[in-house]
Amino acid sequence: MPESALRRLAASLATGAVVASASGCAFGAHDAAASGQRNDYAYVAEAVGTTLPVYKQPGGAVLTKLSNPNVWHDRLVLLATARSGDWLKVMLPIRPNGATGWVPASTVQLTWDPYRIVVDVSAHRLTLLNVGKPVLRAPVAVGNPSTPTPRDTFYLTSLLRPPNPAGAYGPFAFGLSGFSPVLKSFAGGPGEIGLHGTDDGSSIGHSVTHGCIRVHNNVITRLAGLLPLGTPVVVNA
Amino acid sequence: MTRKSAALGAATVAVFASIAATAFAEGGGPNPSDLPSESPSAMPALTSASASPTSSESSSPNPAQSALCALESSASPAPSGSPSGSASPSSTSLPVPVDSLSPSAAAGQRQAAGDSPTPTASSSADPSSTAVPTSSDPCASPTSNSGGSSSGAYSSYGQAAVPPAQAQQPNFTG
Repeated sequence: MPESALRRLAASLATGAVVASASGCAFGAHDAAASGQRNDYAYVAEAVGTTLPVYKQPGGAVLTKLSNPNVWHDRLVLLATARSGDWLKVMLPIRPNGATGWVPASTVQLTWDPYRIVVDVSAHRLTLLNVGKPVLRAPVAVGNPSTPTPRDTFYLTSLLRPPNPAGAYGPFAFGLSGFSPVLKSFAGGPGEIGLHGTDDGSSIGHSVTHGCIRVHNNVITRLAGLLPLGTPVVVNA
Repeated sequence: MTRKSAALGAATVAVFASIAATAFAEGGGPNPSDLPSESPSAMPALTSASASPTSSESSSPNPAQSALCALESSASPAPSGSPSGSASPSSTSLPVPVDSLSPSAAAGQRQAAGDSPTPTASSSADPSSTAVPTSSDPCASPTSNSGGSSSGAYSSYGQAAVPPAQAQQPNFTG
């Protein structure tokens, strides 16, 4: 009898373990948050006022003032990377690439974003992550050797719908917070890097652009319907 | 002995079930305290003048500010650079109350924006992209957009919204 009781206890324990394990698997993304893997989310700071002063450091001198909405008439968003008390450290959509500053938390509304884009330049491959898990992979065209796509962490700053969806930018074009390291201006703009569609599908998979990241039109259409402004774009070598 | 064993087994199962339920309840989104703390070299006191935005700003309390205040008062501050942050195991640390959110909110939002199907749902037949099998369905996320609900310290701290596309000619580097 004692042995059978022990067997039943062992069976009960095993059943319980299976329940817990199965539940954990079923929860998917929730597990990441519950288990402490919370750095798979991005924090997006959306400006509240029509002008957002950005400071060199908390309470310090003004570094720059950003307009809200931005030049593309999109709401001004910044990618928050750290905090100190009531201040947030943010990545700035200005030159030089990688510029950061501080904003009072009261001047922005903070939201979170589960998505992240990783672009492998040498492999000509874009991967979309959702809470750290790959959900889409697609080939891309990147900058040619004389006008390379800059390697850094950027984020989406705007979403445009070109008048001609069959044109060079395809049906949608995201603006990024980064700029060409070579071109100080382009087509009347400041040399801003974009992520967009194309009218030349054969260019995808090659290093042929002026620095932008091109994808097939059906891919950019999907991304345009899915990604918030502020989504990080990590461009690796 | 048999009854005791059965009771013990049932209690064990209940404990595991409770753990699983807690794990689910705690999921639902990140916490702003996950942002790594950073101490600037010189950090003057925050003044109302320097933190005051333009006159167009709403006079209503800023939800992000409220969230940060709530986090600052947390009993377990985040170690600097810690990815796990200071998330409290209690449900009050959730950015968005789980029970106040509808999984259909995000899907409705995308539909309103003229969204195409999500990659996980439709791209299997697409030769130009590859959907990666995943159990993490973005449409199933128990979160809403930044409008959020009005309860708790994280009342409006929600998932970033998909923007409407601006009809303009880009001048990106192409």
